[in-house]
Amino acid sequence: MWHQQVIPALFPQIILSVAAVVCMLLIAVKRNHAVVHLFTLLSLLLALGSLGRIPGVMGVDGLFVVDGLGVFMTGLILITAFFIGIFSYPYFSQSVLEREEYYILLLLATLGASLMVISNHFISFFLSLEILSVSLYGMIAYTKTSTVATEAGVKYLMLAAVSSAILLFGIGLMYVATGQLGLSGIGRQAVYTPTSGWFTAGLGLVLAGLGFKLALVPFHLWTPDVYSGAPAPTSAFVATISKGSVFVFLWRLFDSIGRDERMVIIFVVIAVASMLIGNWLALKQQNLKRLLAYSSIAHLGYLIVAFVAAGDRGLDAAIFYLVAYFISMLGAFGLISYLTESGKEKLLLQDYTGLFWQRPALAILLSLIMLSLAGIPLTAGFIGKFYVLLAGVYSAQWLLVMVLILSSVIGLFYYLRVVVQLFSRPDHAVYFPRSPYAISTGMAFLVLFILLIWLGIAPGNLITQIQQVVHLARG
Amino acid sequence: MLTDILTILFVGGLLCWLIPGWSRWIATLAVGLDLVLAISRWWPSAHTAMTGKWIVEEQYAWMPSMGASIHLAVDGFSLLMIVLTLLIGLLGVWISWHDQAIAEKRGFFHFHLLWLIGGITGVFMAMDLLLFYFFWELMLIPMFFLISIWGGEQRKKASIKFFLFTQLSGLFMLIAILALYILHGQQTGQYSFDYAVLLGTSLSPSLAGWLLAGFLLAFLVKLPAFPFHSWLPDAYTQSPIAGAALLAGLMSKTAAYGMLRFALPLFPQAVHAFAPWMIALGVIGILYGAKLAYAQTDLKRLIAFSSFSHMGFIVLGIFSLQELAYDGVILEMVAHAISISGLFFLVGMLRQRIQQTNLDAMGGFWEYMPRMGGIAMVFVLASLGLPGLGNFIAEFLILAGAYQAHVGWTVLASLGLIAGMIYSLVILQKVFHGKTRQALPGADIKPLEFLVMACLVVVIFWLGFFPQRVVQAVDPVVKQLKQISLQELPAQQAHQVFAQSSISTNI
Repeated sequence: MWHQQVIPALFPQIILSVAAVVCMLLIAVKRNHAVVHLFTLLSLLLALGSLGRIPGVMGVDGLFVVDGLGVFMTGLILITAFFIGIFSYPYFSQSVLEREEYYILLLLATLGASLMVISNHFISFFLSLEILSVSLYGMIAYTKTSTVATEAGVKYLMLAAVSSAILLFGIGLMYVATGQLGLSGIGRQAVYTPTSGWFTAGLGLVLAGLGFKLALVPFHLWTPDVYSGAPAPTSAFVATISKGSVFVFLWRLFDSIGRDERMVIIFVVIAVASMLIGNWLALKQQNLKRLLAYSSIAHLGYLIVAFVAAGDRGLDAAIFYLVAYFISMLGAFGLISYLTESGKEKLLLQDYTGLFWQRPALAILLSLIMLSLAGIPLTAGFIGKFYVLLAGVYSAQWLLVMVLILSSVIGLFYYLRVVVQLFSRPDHAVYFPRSPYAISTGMAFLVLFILLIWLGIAPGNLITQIQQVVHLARG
Repeated sequence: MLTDILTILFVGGLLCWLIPGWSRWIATLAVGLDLVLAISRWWPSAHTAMTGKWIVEEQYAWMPSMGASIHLAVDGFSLLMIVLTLLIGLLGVWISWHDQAIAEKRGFFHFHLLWLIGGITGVFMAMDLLLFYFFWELMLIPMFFLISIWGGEQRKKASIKFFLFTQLSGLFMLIAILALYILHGQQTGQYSFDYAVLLGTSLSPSLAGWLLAGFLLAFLVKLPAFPFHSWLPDAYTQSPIAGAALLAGLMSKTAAYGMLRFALPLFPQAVHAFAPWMIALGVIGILYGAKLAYAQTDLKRLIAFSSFSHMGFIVLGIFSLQELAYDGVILEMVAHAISISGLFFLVGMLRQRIQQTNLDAMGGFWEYMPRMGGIAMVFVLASLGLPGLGNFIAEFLILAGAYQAHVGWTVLASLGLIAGMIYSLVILQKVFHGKTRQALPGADIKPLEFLVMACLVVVIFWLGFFPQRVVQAVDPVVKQLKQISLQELPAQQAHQVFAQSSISTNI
């Protein structure tokens, strides 16, 4: 149904599309990094401001569904993109290349992600996925003089293209089995043909495709290379927005077709493997970005625990977890971008030795982020982990709960290793640059810091908010 | 008043960090003020037997949709532990007043110290299980930083090991808490983490066994009890002195407190099935700890293992499930906290003078520090259980109570007293007597140090001569625990639990 109210419901996405075009025109008129940067931030804010006037669940031609979940996630994505925009400015100011186009790609990728979280149809999902992925190719390989970035870009291009192809094939097979592409339609048909071979094969392929995007084990191999090769702000985008939006679609897909026994077993295996392998491989990493990459694999594993737990509790837990995870990852990659010195990122853990003695505030923020990723109380990560555990125990997924506990202790080991590194006394004089664009980045860090602590101590408001969102999502 | 105590500590900690030049004074002021606050509530009520459940109770909304609230309450027992925490915390600030090891970033040190004290105090106040877990974990973070920034040579390894052990065991407790919360919610429709609400949850014996195992794992690791003690020597020896005193003196007591306050009352029936195993662990801990202590060549490690040995008495006392033993356990918690802090402070003072803690480098110090030697003797004698000092009464009561439950194990445990005498006297002999290894003129105790040690000496004598004060204060708790020991199970059911629990303890 297409009526007047649809336009306001899609305002954020419309604003983002227009902003991307205007951004391009701005660059065509005159190259000015600061202007483009400010314009990007403003348009993200504008899109954020246009949220929140939505009267309830609203379908858009069966392609999109603007419900509580979609609105909440769009908001989260926009805010995250805003932070990434802030971190990008000092990062790319040091670069000698043309920097302005980065922001077009950022806006487009954000557009793709924000479309994906309201997608209710395979077509809209696939299109938004491609908008996201194609922008990401550019964002990852943006520092084109750097061979690692180019390598990372090509790797991502290859794997994303392959996984898109697998996904498309899967969608095709599911279409063969059900004659439907809309999620609700597929859900209706799935009831009648639950064991159809085409359907199962299609679902399996779709799962593999989504697994690639989410970097779940065994589809995770690209993650460390891409994270460490890409510019830090892009890594932040890949770690947060790109994964969060695909996760939402995964949730919607299985909400409509139902989680049958076999599927749950597959997800349990995937979750266990992701948690254990992700944390295990992170143990030996000397490179902070690779460490974060493996850690993000494990974190997606935790999210899958909430996914298997399902139900309102599972969704609450997953959304809260995403929020906590977004904040932590943003902070971590933000710090890496901030400490980048004339285009050279500090990658190795030993580069951060003694950060505390030079820049105590940054060291404390990074420690707090590590503790949050490890799920230690006082931080948002703890409440997130607690929530996921609660969902797991509630649905009596004891295996997952036990693996989560064990793997989070493995995880704790390497997070603490980072923290200890920050506080150890350096053997030789170390120097950490003071970026000239420190004010906005500093403010962003401060906000993240407060959020981390605030959500860790008094999460009540956000929890209530999320619970309302879930109810809205269920109509 | 309870929130005031916590707020003063946490805000005080932040102030220490922001105004490093004044951090020692701020820390003194904050902890001292809290101590006055806590004692002011305790003193009037200590004389009259306390009949009401809580002396002070406060409750605020926290996560209403989850059924978690900030529910703080204290009775005689918790208030006693809080006063003890604050006292040792204050003395810890004073003993490290001139400590060169923490001269760098002193404000940050006091920040962590105050937050550590705040975390421990919070554990003794929390009456909401989620809040309890929150404070339980909150203690770890400052302790981790205290070890990893201001610790000894092996600080990195020690701090990470300490954190991993306690975190892993704590997570099992979290699972047990969550399971209890969900079970209670499913039975009654009321989802709540509140202690009072969860207290009467009816559980099948096997399930109760599993949940109790989750709680006990956390407590036994934190205590630590045999065989979960491998983090102890590293963490105790590597942490700065004030940290070590709080770690050995109070963080270990939070575990004993947790057992008495939460594990036993929440799972009264499963406790009976676990008791024989726990008693065995306790007694093994006493003897093994004493043996390890005797074998050490480092003073700090020796004291660390002696602490481990004494923790065995606490486990033995708690799980003998006798009224006398409960009194003994609580007295032991207080007396041991005082004596072990005294010993660690002593090590700290020695290290400031000779820059190491190796026993081989010590000897004949009596000549140069007669007054410190005298004070050391008090703590050594207290630690070996000399009548007239606090520890004697405590260990006597524990053994007397345990004797009613299990004669054989109790006899073995009493051997621990003899072993304790040996290793304790070794301290005195190797440090203060024997051949003079190095001349230390003018190294005797300084006025501030004397004040600190004098406070501890007074308390330990007071405990030895007037244990009734403490026993009265904790009487309601002991009475409640006594009810638990009376709840016997039908034989067949008990057998089932027993079979189940033997699996659980093997995890």
